[in-house]
Amino acid sequence: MKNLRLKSSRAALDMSQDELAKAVGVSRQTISSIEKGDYNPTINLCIKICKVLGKTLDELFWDEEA
Amino acid sequence: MSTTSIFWIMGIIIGVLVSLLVIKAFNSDGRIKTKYDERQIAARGKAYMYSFYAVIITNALMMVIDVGDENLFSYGAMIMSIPICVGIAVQVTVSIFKDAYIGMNNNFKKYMIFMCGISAFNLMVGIRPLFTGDMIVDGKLQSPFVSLMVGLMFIVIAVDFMIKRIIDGREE
Repeated sequence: MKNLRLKSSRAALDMSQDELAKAVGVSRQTISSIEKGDYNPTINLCIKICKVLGKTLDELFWDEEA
Repeated sequence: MSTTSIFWIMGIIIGVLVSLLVIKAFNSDGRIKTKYDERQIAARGKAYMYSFYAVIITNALMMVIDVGDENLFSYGAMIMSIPICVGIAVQVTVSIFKDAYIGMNNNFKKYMIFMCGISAFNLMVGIRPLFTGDMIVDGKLQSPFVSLMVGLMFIVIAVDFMIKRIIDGREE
């Protein structure tokens, strides 16, 4: 399932996938895969992304429907 | 240990040393170790799994169709070049299509130039004997066969990169 919340949070900060990737220490393709829902990141990576984007884990990764 | 074995060992050692120097020079942070993120590590793990099965299947096929007869080769160990090249090609192909071949500290362009050079060199060494008749002597394949296999493997890798670029271009 696509992670549109991550994409919109990143876009709200005017960050590119590449910038977010560098900030959390992964490749741009990994951020792209997470946004497309092709890859489920580890909790450590989720926390790093949340810290960079100033969001909580619930706001970015909690899926109410699951 | 035969003289041929000593030359093979020397060749492998020189190959490994050159590779380490090239990697160190081409990595953006000047380190030998290539950095992969967690997704790439997981994807590469799967690629190694497929590569492992590919090597087993290739070996089994070679036994079945009698390519595995070491008398076909001037030097018996050359026979291993086929499954090794197949295994590497599978590992690299899977890694490329999962965006896990180029690490985070790799310089893609420098790598491509180097790989094209290695590919051209091996193809040159491997193809020339096909025309001069030196590839098969007394009914046995000679050592340029290994270069031909390596050259073909690099062509497969280059084609993989081209296909992947086209796919990525369409997605963007």
